[in-house]
Amino acid sequence: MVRILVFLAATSAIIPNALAKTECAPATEFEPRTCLIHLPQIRSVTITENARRSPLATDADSTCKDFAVTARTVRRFLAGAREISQQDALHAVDWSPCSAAGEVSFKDGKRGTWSVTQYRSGNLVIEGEPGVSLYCPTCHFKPFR
Amino acid sequence: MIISENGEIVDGRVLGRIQKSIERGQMSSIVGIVVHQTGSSSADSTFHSYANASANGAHFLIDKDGTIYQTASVYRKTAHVGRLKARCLAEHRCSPAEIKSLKAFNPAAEHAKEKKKTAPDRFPSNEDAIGIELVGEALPRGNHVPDHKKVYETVTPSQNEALQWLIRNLSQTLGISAQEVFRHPDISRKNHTEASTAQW
Repeated sequence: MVRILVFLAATSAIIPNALAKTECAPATEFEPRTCLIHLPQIRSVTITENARRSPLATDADSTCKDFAVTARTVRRFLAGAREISQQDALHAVDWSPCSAAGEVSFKDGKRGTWSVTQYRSGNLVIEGEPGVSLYCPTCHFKPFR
Repeated sequence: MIISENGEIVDGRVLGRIQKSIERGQMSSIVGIVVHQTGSSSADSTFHSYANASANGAHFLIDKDGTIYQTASVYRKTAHVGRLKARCLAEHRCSPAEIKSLKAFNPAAEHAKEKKKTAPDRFPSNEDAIGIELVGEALPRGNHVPDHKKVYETVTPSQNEALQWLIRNLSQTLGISAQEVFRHPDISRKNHTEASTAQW
């Protein structure tokens, strides 16, 4: 019993934040290495930017008009998102000129900001914690591609 | 430029640091060169990332001072390109049927269609392209700015000089056309600022 309590105490000390990583999947030719994250339950999602076209985009890119997220699709994205390294976020996943951003509040009282792109990548910064780069391998629903 | 049977460059200007972790299968034909930036601040951080068993990388790495490392055999594939853009779209020569199918705007489907073509009808791919990485960060650092809004730093003059030397010698030795040397975002959906200041 003492050993179990010591283990639990040690585990909680190692995983102090809401974005505790557990299982990771290796990279493939086209997909980055991804790790599971456990977010607190979401209370609300608000959208501050939608269907935004990057100033870095070239003329050949989409107009981004069809990349309009809803609070529901953002919740689905966050539910399926996995953490990736910042280097993979820049280098391995497809870059999209189309993005959306907003705020999120959790049932544990914490708040944060999120951003997502049309090609299923994103970022999440929860107050008081380091931000994470996200990728959702399974988010094949509109408006993601 | 002399290339050994193993695909290693034999030249005092190129330091051998082959990383078996990033080498994939045999590359039987070489049709192009793709220029990248690493997204990291130093050559050491890139070598550190290559230590991962499933790491992806390119054939060469050029440090900020112009030091050239060979990181994979030129006769082995590496996964440095990602999904291909439709070349006919970039060169304004798609058929009406291709334009119609590309309107779906799905990177995976677009790549699958391109993979059925042979170069130069498609862009060089992981199957037949040499990759050259230039050490360079995407700024600003940290997570307060989303990754998709970051801008790659300017390639140094020493890197550009080394890049010119390397591309010229690889092209001459391996018979690669000057028309088949690309910046990464020209051929795959990547941040448009990657390698935008590279010159060769």
